[in-house]
Amino acid sequence: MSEIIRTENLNLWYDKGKPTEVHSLKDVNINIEKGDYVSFFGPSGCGKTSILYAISGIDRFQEGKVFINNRDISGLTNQELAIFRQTGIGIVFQQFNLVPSLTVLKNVALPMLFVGISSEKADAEARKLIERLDILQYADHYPFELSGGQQQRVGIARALANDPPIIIADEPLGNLDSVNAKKVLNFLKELNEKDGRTVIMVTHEAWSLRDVKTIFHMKDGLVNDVQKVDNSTSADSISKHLNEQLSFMSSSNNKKEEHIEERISARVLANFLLRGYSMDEIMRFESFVNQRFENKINKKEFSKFVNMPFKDGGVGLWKKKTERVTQYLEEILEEKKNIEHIYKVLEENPEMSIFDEILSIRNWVLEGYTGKITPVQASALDQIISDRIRNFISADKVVELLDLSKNKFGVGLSFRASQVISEKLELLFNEDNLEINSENSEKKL
Amino acid sequence: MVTNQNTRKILLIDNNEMLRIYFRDIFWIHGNNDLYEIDVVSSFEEAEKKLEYKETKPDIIFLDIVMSVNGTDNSIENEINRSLSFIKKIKDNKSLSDIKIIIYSDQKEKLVKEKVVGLDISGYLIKGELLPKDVVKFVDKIYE
Repeated sequence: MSEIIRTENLNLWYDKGKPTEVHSLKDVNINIEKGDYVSFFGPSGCGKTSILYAISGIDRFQEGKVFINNRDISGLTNQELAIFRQTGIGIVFQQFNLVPSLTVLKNVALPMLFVGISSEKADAEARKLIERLDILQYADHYPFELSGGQQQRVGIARALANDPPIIIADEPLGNLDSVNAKKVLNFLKELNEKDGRTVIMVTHEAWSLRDVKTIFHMKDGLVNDVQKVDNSTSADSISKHLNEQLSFMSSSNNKKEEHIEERISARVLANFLLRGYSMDEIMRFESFVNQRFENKINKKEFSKFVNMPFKDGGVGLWKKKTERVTQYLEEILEEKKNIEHIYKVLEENPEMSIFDEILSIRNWVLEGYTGKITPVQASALDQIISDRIRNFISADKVVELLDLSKNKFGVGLSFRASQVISEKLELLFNEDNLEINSENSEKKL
Repeated sequence: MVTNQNTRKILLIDNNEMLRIYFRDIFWIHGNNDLYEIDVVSSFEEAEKKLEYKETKPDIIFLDIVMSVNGTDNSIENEINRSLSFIKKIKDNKSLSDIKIIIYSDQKEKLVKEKVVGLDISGYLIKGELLPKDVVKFVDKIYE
């Protein structure tokens, strides 16, 4: 393979010279081979998105060089940069960034019109792309009519307009449920392996690294490790690095991971269950929750790890608390299966009654609630659960409706009870399952 | 610029600046800068200068068949005739006749296309009907 991207002593500051100055990239020197699938991996604020934008010519860096096919793009004029961005790079955004007033077809055709392709040709090419992404039936729909997963597929199709050799994906799974996230990962893999495109993904989630071949580990604006990943051991090596950071679980990740299980909101759950604990404890707890969700550890092991002293790699929860959170987690896993079933049913037939499933969820969210619920209130609660599952209402709206008086067709619970029930309900969804849910989770954190 | 012996020289003649940048950059972006050396000019006069020297003589010329020139009669008919006489000039010159000529234009009318029939051109491409990579592929195919 030959080199397609190279950076030399790349430095990028935001607000340089101001009190708010941030040194986002520090002497970054990397090489990316043509046809590679790489990821910039690291925690929020490590500079991974900055490097993406520097490579794409979106952010102007102050020092250093970025070479694309041996040409330094720091010397390009604005016109040249515009053409480079429109034809050289396809960007998949976390927030999709679709134009709301254009149909799916026109969103995908738009980048082609920018470079002088006729609208007939652009429409024909766009149609091929959305067919490839399996969303042809939505060609004439507007973005707001689509689910998050469908919108992201439109985003990928649009990134492929003009047939660019480099695809850049900026946290592409951030707003997707696990099923759609897997689909997106499969598409990215296909774009790399089948099309031979160079794919660059920025992520903070280890499980999304499953197909990448090179990982640039970033921290505080520095690329501090470059890891070449052998496909057969990708899960091992990724886990190894994670465990190095978290210093635990070194023995449980030696088996090849066949596939990565769906995750629900481990972070929300960790914050929910460990309120008042330190960030280190919450993060470590979150990682164990992930392991449990992904079925890498069983209930007994989870219980053992969270009970183990922090200095020994555990979370250090007391025995009683350990029992409680373990039990709680197992209940969520059970209810999650219920939710998955509901989504499957709804996918097949959106009008299908999901009364039994909702009843089960209602009973679960009301566990521990000591007040009395009348049949009218139960019915209103069922409606709220149903609307939330169908993504008709946001988590905030759930709290509002639970709290709203019965006279106004709410459930009439106390604000505190409404909050607790809403939080519990949100735990059943994948962290990024629902777009509005995701935004809400951020607020909570 | 160091070029190897197999590097093909391509010259684009087009009076649209963005198109010139676009054309040059798509060969760079698609990683063919070792295979092709791209030169761009905005007029036939500039192109003729390039033809004079072995170092700058192209292997392929892409040209827009309709290009306005300041201070002259810019009817489409006249512009096409200017392009046709440029092509004839090359094809009638033994030292230049090996240059492959490709029309790269927005003009897709049959009448315009018919005017180049018999002129030994190597292709008639419509700008708006080609994705960036298609242009590179077209050239690749010539040398397959």
